[in-house]
Amino acid sequence: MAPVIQAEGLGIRFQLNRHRRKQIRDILFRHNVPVPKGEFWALRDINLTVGQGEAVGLVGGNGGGKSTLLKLIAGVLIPDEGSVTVNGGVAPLIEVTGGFVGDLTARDNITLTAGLHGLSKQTIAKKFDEIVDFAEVGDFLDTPFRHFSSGMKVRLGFALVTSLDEPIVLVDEVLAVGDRAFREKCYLRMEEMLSGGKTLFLVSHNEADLRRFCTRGVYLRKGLLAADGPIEETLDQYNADLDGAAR
Amino acid sequence: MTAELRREDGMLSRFRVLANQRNTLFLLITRDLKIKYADSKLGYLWSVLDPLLMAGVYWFVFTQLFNRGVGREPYILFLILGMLPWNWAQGVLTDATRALTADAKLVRSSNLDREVWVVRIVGAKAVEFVFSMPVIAIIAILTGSTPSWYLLAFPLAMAIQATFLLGAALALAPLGVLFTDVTRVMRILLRILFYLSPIIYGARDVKAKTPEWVGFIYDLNPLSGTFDLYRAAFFPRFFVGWTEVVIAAVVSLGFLALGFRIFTRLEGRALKEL
Repeated sequence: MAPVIQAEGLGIRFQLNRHRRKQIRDILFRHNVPVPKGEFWALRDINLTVGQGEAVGLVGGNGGGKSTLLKLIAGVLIPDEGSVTVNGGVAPLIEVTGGFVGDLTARDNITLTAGLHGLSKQTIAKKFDEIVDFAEVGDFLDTPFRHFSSGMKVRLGFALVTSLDEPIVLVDEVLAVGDRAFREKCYLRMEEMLSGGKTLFLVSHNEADLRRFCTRGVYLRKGLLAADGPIEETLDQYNADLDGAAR
Repeated sequence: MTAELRREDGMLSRFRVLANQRNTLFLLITRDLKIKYADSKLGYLWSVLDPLLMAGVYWFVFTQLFNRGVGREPYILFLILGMLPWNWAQGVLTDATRALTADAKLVRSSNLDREVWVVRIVGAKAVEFVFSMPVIAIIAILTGSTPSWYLLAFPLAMAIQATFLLGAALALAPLGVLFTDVTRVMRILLRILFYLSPIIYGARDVKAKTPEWVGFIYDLNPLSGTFDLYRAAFFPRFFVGWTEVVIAAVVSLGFLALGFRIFTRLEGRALKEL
């Protein structure tokens, strides 16, 4: 299997104890510029090789670095250390509703956002109906996006990003929203994508979801890679850690 | 795929990447214009109203109240030829500090080259500038003025101005994320820049009224040679000269190189703060 994603010594740090952002004023008029109290590594020393068609579940507590890792893979954060190499396009299901503009209609939003994700005009025209059907927003195409319910917004976002047909799919907790009927549809769509040979990264706190979709589990603890193996083993270790901490 | 290589890439290869994203850029610019004009049919009027009103005010102050010793007749055409490009510059330099924050969610969820968010502002404002050109034609007709051959240099002046604005905006975008008061500082700087650019007067006036060294420093403002070149379209005999235009072009290229450097350096840090 050719590696699709390869992380080598990957690390990124964030500032700690920064209550507010800096101002030019501070530099100009104060000699003691507030030095950041410290930094912490949100992720460090991550080595990971993922082959085509693998379904990887990211496991770990809050602040473990799961979302940060997805963002580094998606290329929306730049690492401070090491590198991550991604061969192929990425369909990021991260903040799926982020690209939409409240003042524009759903129709305009679909064409614009799909275009931003790199779809050509012809492809958008071809996929337009499919996206609308999947999101079940057919009656609201000319309604400004800000009038959509939050469920509708997420549905449209999910429908759009999953129709991008990129070889790598990153999913960050989007399955938590939406009603049951839509969730079932999402599951089906994800299974279709997996059987179509796509590489999947899934962040979830729902063990059932992780077991259902993923074959491999990566456990991130405080920014470090704590375990990497079959999903069952990784979940067992995560649970053992939690039980150990509780005791 | 581009994401890992790009940090070490030189300016030219990054330009090539940007060129590949021109479709995206086109989309974003259309989106900006659509949003701007979505709610009001008067959208177009709004974008030319501000410079028109200001030109009217300066015309009143400098022709009716003050005894004006600068500029040329018809002064209203003289003013509008400075105000409209200034409106472009002002729009870009104000919005650039919010280039990454205004669409933070979009920046965070799509892996476009981040320069796109800056280029898009320069582009959208450039389109508005082009759309406002009929105003120049109308005022020229009303005042009975005829264009000179310098009108053909309009695209050149636009290219130089775009280069400068792109450089400045590239530097401002990450700075606006990292420092909260950049927007406020820019507002002050813009007011200074307005009076230090040939808008209510011409670059020739500066040369005529001040020692030579002041004129030289004045030329370093990339807007000074540029605005005078626009104006030469209708005031050819008042044109400051090609040397000044060349200086403006060189300084603009310097701004662009510096802006790219600052952007590349601070991009990673700025992304963390979004």
